[in-house]
Amino acid sequence: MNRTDLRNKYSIVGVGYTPQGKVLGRSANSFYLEATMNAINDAGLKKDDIDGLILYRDFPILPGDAMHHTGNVITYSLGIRPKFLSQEAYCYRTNINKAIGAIENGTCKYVLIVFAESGRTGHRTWTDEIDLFSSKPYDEYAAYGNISAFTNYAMFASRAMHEHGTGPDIWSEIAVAQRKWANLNPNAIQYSKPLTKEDYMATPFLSWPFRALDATASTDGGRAIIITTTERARELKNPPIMIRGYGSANDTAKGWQLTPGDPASSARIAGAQAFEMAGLCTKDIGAAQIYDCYTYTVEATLGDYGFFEKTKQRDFLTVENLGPGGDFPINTGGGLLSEGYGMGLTPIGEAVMQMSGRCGDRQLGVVPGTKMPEFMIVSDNGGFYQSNETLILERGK
Amino acid sequence: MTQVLKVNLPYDLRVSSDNAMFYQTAHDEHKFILPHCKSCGQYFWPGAFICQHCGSTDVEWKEASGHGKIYSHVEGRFPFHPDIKEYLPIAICSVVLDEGPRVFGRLVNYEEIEKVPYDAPVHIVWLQDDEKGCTIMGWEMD
Repeated sequence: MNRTDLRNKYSIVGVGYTPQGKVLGRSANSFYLEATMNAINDAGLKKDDIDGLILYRDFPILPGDAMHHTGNVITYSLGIRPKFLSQEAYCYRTNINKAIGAIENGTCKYVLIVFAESGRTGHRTWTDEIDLFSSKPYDEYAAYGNISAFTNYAMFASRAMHEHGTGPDIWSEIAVAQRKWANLNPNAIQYSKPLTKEDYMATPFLSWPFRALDATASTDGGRAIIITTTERARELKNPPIMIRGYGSANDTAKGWQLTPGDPASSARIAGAQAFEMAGLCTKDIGAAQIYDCYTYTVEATLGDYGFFEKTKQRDFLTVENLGPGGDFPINTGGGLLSEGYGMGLTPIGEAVMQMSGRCGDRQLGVVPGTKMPEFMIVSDNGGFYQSNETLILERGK
Repeated sequence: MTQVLKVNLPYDLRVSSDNAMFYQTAHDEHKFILPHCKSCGQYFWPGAFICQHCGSTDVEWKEASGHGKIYSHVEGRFPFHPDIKEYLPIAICSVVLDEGPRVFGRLVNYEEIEKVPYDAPVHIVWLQDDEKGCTIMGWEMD
């Protein structure tokens, strides 16, 4: 089969949000259920229509939950019996691939993808495994003092300073541009908190060369989307947001083994697949929602997609270009950095909302100096830049 | 003679059966060994059941130089877990060995992390924790 046969055959038809930030007294489980039902209602479907359910990765449970929020726990509370059920134990990004596969092979009609967490209230520090699993360290590298995703990404970014001449000066542009978008998004955790480059530079390094403002933070909340065929989507209430192209790829290596500019990086391969399937190139793309667990992840991903030469990122990655009113808007809800941590559903959800014209004050085409893009690229990234799923979306009729 | 520094490590060393020989030899003999493929002749790290280059199971441990170049480095200054606070700052680096593989380690005996040059030649300095009974890789600029 030619992958171009699938061009625009599938669409995203609903997005489910929940309150996010610090939301006291709520279990992760409750956010799973709220996000799921909100997506179902948003699409104009009934819960019994959902015959495929994909959960993002399982995390160690935190206070507020009594058991792992596995697929079975969620489906029990939803009262549904999906034919296809899936949840990773780790951060691989193959959800779109799985959803489309399950529909394409005739198993499912409507596949819902969901992520939820109570990481803010439950104090997930991304090192909880040290405490929760046993008194033993999480892995071999803990003895060396490497206990956080933060440090692993910092090693990737540190080498890129040498290879590509990047650094805090450029990363601050990304952080500030996204904060300006968050300041237009009432759902964003950082909605009422402006940020300047001076503010960024005045904060300390947590793990040199990264500051806290280079990273996302754990969130309470959840998010969900629903995928079906574009044909079925046309019968539903929202405009179908068509998947014109998608790709997924997986690198090897731990974070400290990553190589900036690797010609076979997951983002590069997944991006190339998506562009090929879509029949498009970078100049066709009007805006991007890029998985931004760290500021440098945005630089690495856009560079791997081919939006700029890696050593010339300074001309592209500016507040003026990426922020409200810029020529290449990115992470228009604030992204993982400033909106909230909904894994890949933060960028994917925002892309769908933008392409369906439902973004209020931050809507592309409404914000002065912007226009509604014909095509939007979206990245979902997992592990330490090891796993990537890329989407190119187009608004359907 | 390879240098050995006595240290207190923040956590126990968790070792896989596949890589146990590396750390045991480091701890007992202060010798730097690497997994080596007898089939394709290449080195790799950490130890594994097959060669990551050619897939052969004909792998052995072979003494290596303990020399390489810094690939990347960071300096942890924030206690992402409470038990690590008293050990900070900790500089962590990756090193491309003369034999080829990229390995992990602590960067030791440097002054300012911002001024540590990339690709600087380094040599192994074993960091030995007698209480925990283990030894890990430290790297010092030549």
